Amino acid sequence: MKIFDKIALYVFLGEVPLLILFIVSCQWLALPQLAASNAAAKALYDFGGFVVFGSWAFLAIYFSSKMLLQPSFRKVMLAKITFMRERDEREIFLTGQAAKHTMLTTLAILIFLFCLSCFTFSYDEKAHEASWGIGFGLTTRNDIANTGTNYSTHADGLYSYDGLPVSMQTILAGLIGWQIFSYNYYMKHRE
Amino acid sequence: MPKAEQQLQILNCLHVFRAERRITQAQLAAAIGVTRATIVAIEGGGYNPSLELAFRIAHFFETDIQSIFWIEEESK
Repeated sequence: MKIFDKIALYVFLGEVPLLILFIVSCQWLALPQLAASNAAAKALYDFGGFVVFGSWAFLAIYFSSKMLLQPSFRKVMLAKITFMRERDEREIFLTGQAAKHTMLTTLAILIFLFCLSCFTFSYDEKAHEASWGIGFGLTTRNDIANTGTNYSTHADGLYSYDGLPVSMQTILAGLIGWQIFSYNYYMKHRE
Repeated sequence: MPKAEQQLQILNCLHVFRAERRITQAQLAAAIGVTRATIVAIEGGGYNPSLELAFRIAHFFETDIQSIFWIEEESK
């Protein structure tokens, strides 16, 4: 791990208590309201919001994207996070077995959740009618597809982003597909 | 794939070799570069070592692999 990454990791982890303190003071000490009337509270609020949370969010995006793009970094970081130990051949063998088991159980859970999220059931007590259906939408918001509007708008100079515009079904289907593809791709290129 | 009518079981007398030389599991593990848990697993029959590790163990005890590990056929 590079020196910059080590320092960034210490900053990222060190900021967690500060962030908790900031959230607590916002929730229970009404810091945003105090900031409107008190200069010291405003300075604290701005510091907590821009410096602490801003840098923490930036580092979170930095680490997550680096884990996605750099295999060596991903291996080091996720091995630490998951307490993975590969000190000798038996532990490597067990890790492989565990990874296979985890992959298969995750896939089973994803397929189960995908089925639950796709199928709908309703029962009308008055008419004594039951109906089954299937609901699958690629996006979460129909108005986006219909009107063609985006999350970012230039009107009033306001730019906003409020999460991925994909539905839960799409994410689950994507994850299922990725798990199957990733495993087969890896196996094919290791033969 | 041919059906194996008999199952092979790999047995070992690693603990005997260790006892003869008065070596602890931790000492053997350090000498051959594995964890003590692996030695425990091999002696208990819970893990079959790779050919490389089997050679390393045999080399450590200055003997051949067959003196430590052997196969016993188990009919189903």
